[in-house]
Amino acid sequence: MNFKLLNNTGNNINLLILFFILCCFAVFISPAFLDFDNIQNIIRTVMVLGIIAFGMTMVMILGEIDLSVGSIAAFSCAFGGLFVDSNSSFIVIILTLLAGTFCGFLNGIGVTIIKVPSLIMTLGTMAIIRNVGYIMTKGQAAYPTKLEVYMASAKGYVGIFPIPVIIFIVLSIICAIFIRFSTIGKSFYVVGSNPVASILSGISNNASKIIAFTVCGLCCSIAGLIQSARLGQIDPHMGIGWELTVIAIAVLGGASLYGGKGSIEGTIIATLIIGVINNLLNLLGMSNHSQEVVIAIIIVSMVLIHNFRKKQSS
Amino acid sequence: MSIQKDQLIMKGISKTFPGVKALDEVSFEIISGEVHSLIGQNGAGKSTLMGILNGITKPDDGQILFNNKVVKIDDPKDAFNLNLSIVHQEFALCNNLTVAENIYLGDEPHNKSGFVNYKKMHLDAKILLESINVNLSTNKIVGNLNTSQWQIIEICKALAKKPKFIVMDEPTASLDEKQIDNLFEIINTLKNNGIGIIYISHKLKEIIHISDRITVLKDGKINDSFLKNEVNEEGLIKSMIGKNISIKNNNQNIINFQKPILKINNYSYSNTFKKIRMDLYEGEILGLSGLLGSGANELLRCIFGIIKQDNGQLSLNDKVVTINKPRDAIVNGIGYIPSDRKNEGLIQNNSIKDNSVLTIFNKLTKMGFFKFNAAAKTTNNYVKKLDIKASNIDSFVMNLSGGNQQKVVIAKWLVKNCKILLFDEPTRGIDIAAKTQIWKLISEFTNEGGSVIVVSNEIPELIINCNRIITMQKGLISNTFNHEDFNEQKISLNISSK
Repeated sequence: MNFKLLNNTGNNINLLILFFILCCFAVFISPAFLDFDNIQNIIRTVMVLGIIAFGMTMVMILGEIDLSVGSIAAFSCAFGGLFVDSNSSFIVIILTLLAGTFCGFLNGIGVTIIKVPSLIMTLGTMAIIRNVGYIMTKGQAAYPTKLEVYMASAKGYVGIFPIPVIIFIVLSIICAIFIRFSTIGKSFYVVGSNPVASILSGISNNASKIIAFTVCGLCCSIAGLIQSARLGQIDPHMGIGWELTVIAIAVLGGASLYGGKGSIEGTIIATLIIGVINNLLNLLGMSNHSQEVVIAIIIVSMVLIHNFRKKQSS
Repeated sequence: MSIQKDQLIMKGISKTFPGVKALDEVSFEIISGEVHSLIGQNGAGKSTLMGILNGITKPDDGQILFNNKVVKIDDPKDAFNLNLSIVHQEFALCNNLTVAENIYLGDEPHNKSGFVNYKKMHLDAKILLESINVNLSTNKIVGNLNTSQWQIIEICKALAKKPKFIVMDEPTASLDEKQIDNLFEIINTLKNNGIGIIYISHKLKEIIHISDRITVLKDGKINDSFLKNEVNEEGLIKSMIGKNISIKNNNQNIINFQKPILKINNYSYSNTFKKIRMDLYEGEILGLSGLLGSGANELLRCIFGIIKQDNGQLSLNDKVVTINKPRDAIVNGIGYIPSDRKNEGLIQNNSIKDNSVLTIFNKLTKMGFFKFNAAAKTTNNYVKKLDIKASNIDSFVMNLSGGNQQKVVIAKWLVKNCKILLFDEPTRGIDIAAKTQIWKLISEFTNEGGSVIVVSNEIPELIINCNRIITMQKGLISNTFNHEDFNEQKISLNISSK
């Protein structure tokens, strides 16, 4: 096997070291950090955003960005929620996933065929999709508590393993394999690194981008579904501000805002790091607002580090 | 009473780059109020000499004298302090700013409170434009003007620094005849105002028309120096090329000139080229040569579908084919090796392997998965075949030399089994050994039945390797040479005069 494939191993090792330092620090601050309940809480909270970050990583490898992730999560769940009365988990889940996939596809079409820069396109769909969700549900939440399978996605266990954790692990493996070993995943890196050379070599940049945005939309709906089941209600107000944390995870995991870089492995570790940071701030008794400040600082400082490294290498 | 004339002399300048002596004891002078032209083939040393004058390149030996005093030019700022300005070949203008803002970009006049003094700026700009007899409103947005006006603004930018000497590098490359006449009027005005002009161009007719003195560089040495009316175009070409070297055509392929494999008819694209008719035959190497602005490079890009022609049609083996984008061309067996290989040919931070198989990603896919082993096998084959020097196929292409990078780009199309390859300046910026190898690859490709169009200004290289050479000027084909009639002087004349 070819070890050069893991060309950003170095970055991932740095992330792992950072992760352990943070954990040690957390234990030092509060021994309660290591409580089983606390650890479970960390994983369950951050995993939802981690799943979206897989999609975001793909979009960012292509040099694009998706700001509409929170809106897609809320809308797709709300759409599925309209059919709660059918009492069929299957119907609700399928419709939720289809709605998310479709929204992602629309983003992809807008960015490629209509040629709107992704920053603007997804800023637009962020508002459009969320408000269509409000209009559609009249702002009312739906309650899926009677849907057994639906609820199990957040609350169930297989043996001692919580189902949402299993979903996270399975998705991460699928995404990692997709990005590393599929031809489409390979072309993501090519298109993101040099869109001109890829077009001149006959690769369809548009197809790659539409696929990435669509997958990102699907990830959003899965994450939204788990979140809805966890809270026991399908709330169209869900996911406001998620894009900030999701982008922070992807960037921390090694995805470059300039395209061509990023990996699912990095994103997984970054998800855990963000989870620990959030938890740490909670343990320190800091407010949600200060958590957002920290996360925003992470995004900006990662870009600084990127620029610094670029300068050093040249 | 005579006016004190300023004088800038470069004396005994030598410069060696690794493996090549770019300049060998070159002396060059410019006096205020004269136009002194500098000509020579690609690689003769013009750019190096001007780089030294502008402080970008440091000479190994020699000195620069300003009014008989030795001066040092270590960076462009020193050149500026010596009242020397350069009008570059490429426009560097801000399209959404006004004429005046562009002229004083980075050097805006300020009022006492530190704000830009727009009134003074527009007034100064107006005076400047009037001094060269140009009637142009200083309020106009530069993006709405034409290339000729851009050229004037570039000149004004240089003039705004109140220079005594101006270097003009290919100022007429993108101008049409009337615009060139305009430019010459401006140059004459500048001359009368006592400014010395170093004029660099490939267009010999213009050189003869405008120059007071002409200096010919060849292989890093001064080959000849002429005064006005001392020389004609043939004389200049002889001096640039050298008298005794005869270059022989070395292409042994016998072409069947009956059925063209590629035929373009009536191709036009905006003002760049018009009604081009051209055939390409199986096994042929067709050279296409023209200066910047002749339309040769754009024609190639148009055949590959990067730009879309306004009208005209293309047929392959007598079948009309529509090419709207590069993919269409690739599907039809056409490959393109761009002149800007760094940005258009290669993905710099990807491996040799990924770059070599870029065109056959679909073929290397099984059930959606990429066949890494097959890709490595294919790449290894071509690395061996094309003699690409690299530690291994997983190293990044940005670490390769220019020649090896070019080979990777060629490999990309060979793995695709293309029938027609379009080369845009394939040997630009690579060393002589690699050049020979690239040409060997091209001829091997045609020996196996492929056809090639090469756009290049390296006429000796074209003469050695091509079956036919087509010359272009101002968007039109000026002549077609069969290999029996190859003659460097004639070909050069068909590119650079008319």
